[in-house]
Amino acid sequence: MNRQRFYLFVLLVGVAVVRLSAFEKIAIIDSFDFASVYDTETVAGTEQILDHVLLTGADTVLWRNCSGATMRYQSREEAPLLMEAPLDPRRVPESRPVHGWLRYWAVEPDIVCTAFASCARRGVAQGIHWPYEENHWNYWTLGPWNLSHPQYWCRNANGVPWHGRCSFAFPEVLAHKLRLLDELLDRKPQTIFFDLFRSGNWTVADEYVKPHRERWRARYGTPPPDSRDPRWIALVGETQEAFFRAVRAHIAARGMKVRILLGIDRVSAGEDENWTKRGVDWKKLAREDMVDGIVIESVRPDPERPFASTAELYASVRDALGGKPFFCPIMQYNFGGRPGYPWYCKATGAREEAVVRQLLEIARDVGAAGIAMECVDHKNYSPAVCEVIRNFDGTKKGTRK
Amino acid sequence: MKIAIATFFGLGVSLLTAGDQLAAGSHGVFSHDGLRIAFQAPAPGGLRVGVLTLATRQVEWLTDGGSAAYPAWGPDGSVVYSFLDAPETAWASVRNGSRKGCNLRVWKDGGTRQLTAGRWRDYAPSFSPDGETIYYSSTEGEERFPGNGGQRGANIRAVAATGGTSRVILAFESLQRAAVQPSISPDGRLLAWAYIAGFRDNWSIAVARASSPEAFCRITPPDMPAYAPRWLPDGRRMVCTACREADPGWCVYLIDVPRGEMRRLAVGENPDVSPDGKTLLYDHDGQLLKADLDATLAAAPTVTLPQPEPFPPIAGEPAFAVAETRKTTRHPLAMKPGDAAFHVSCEATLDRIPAEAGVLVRGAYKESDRAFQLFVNAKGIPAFAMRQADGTYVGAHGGEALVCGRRYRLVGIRVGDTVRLYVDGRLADERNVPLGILPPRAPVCLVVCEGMSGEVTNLKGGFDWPADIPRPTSPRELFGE
Repeated sequence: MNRQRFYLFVLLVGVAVVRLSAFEKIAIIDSFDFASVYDTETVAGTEQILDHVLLTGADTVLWRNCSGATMRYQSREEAPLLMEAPLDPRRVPESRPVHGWLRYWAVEPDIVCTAFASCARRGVAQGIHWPYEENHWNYWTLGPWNLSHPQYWCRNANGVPWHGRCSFAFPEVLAHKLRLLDELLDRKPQTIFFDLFRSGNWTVADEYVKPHRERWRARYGTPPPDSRDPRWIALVGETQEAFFRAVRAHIAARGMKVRILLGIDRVSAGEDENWTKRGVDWKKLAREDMVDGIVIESVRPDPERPFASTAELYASVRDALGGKPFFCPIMQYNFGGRPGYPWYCKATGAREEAVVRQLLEIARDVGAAGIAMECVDHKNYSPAVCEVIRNFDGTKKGTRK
Repeated sequence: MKIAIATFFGLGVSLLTAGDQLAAGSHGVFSHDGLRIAFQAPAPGGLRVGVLTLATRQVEWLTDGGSAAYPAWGPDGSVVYSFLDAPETAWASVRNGSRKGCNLRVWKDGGTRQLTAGRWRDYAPSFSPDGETIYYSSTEGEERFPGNGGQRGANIRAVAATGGTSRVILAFESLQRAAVQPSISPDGRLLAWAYIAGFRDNWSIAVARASSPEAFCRITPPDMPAYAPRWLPDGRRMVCTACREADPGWCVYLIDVPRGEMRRLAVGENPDVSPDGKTLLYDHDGQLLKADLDATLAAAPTVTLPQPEPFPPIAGEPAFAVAETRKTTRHPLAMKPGDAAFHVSCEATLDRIPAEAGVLVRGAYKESDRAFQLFVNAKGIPAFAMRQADGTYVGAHGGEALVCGRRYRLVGIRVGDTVRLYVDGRLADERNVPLGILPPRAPVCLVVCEGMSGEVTNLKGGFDWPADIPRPTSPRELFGE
């Protein structure tokens, strides 16, 4: 081994040791949000996004693979031609300058491959951020496969279908998702992160499809109940669980080691909406090794005790996981009842750097494996906040009171 | 090749006829002489439009490069289609000031000319029967709505076949509504299109008099997504693409509009019928297929469609009228709008967007101090809301914030199980009230101009349909039956 190779070896070992012991800082990236700043359909634009995002001190990047079911890589499964609006008339076009004219599915070279290669060069871990949705609250994000298969669309209790999502109750839908998973695995992600926060307005109330109705009738001998009935939630939950089991088995069958993370939303002291609205039993998935870790995407703290109640909610997740890693949120914006750090600033009167430091310390003190920065967009995390995150040493006990 | 396929269908079993395969492609449409078919097909990097001569099965490609789609014939043998070519990245095209969009082109006798141009999307065109006008779907004008995360609408526009400035045929004051694939009846009297009323809605078929498209009605039920309507030569029936729960996927349906009946003809999409009414053309799995229409119809059981009832001919004197106010006023009235069709209208000018909701007018009953209200929320979005029987609200919302200093005419209408909001005469939103309206048991008190800074004028309301708002029609009314 010559001297150069020796130094490289020492460096790589050092990096690996640091990474194993580090408090992981995950950045979730939606390249679409940079589209008016950089030319995000190019290699140079992808590099600029990563340059910018890594100012936060992130050591893991989770790259969004889709807008709804409109793919941001060269997908064979989601027919590329029909992702172009308005070549499919069932997709109402979006016409905003830049955003309405992006064609991520057609970019050469493949964007996800470009981003992953850049992460590897930079020594940053990489993965896929896959929202648990087929739409992103917009018509133009519906996928070609969805639009071609109305027979699998979800359906409400009145029998009215909705194109917002195909139901996992149909084996054909599960097979389609696994083909998409294959496309992602071909790009060799280290992590695949399923995000329950982004669910495209879909709930268990949209799951009155024929296979669910028939299973209900076979089991209970009555017409399906209201979607708030715990037995209905459990029934829909079986198909959600089957999806995660299939994902785990599929990855194993390919002989790959890919970390599966699951994002849970609106963690509160009361109702667990991940279960009651989405039918996803994240505790069971974690306990039974169907996922490798949980990302807390948002919590609902007590406004009277913002930090203390936040710590309690984080701890409640930790206690439910039986030792599985979990990640705590750092979110730059408030969204739909989900408090980002601006909410804590307002609740406490503290500056954002102080709030973020506090949230980091809470995460560390409750034993989190790290943080997940919800959508690092262009300049949304201020330089001062980036500095706090970058410099935060997750291995030391803090002085939080 | 004709194969009988037994398929479960609703209450029974029907025989579907698989059509004769014509060519690889989709969106086929007969020429006016019935001898040729224009269609689209995949090409390297996009789609192209071709013309198939039925006698020889020879295809002539009309386009090369980019993507060309949605061909339609004119009576003179011209073909209009939508063309999209985007060689630049989106960012580069904006930086370079590109005005290229997805626009219409016309091919005739080997020559091509640009019909529309602009940085928007013009698509799914069709000719008027006399060949003088081309109707099409368009996102032109959607820059009226700069916000809301990219949710857009698509309107119906028309342009002279010879070119010139286009005009709006049907547009909504809403981001969430879209009207696409306009098809005008052979007598030019009726217009049909595919319509969707919001992100949670399904595509449906809408029909109206061509002279008053705003007064449209939906003819397909909510549990049957449907699109791509095309009239048959008789001007009473149409074919479309639709899917019901028992269907194996998208299917071709024939709808008898005045009779309110439909039949499923084939598994496939994008149907058309030959000018002599004898041949059905459609596509399935990327193949153009044709079938004998009468034979197909003979094998297809009839399904009765739920008939949308005509909106009741509301007439009467306004129950109240308030000329003008800039400060909160209360007006006790002897009316019970919760029991009947009802409307409230006013003109409103905001000085500023309210910090909380600003009420233009609300009705306070004994049971509820906000049984109905026309208001502007903290984002400046106008809305008309009524309280349901369980105490929750159902609101119809505008698509974009009101601009301060500008006067708007806002109309809220409640008929049957729906509430509607119109902004400046255009339908902005329509919502079902599944639980019914909270019925008042005592007279109402109007509260006007509350929590807002601005002016409310010409406030009127009552049990009459506002004269300046088109009253939705019904299939029976359209056909005088």
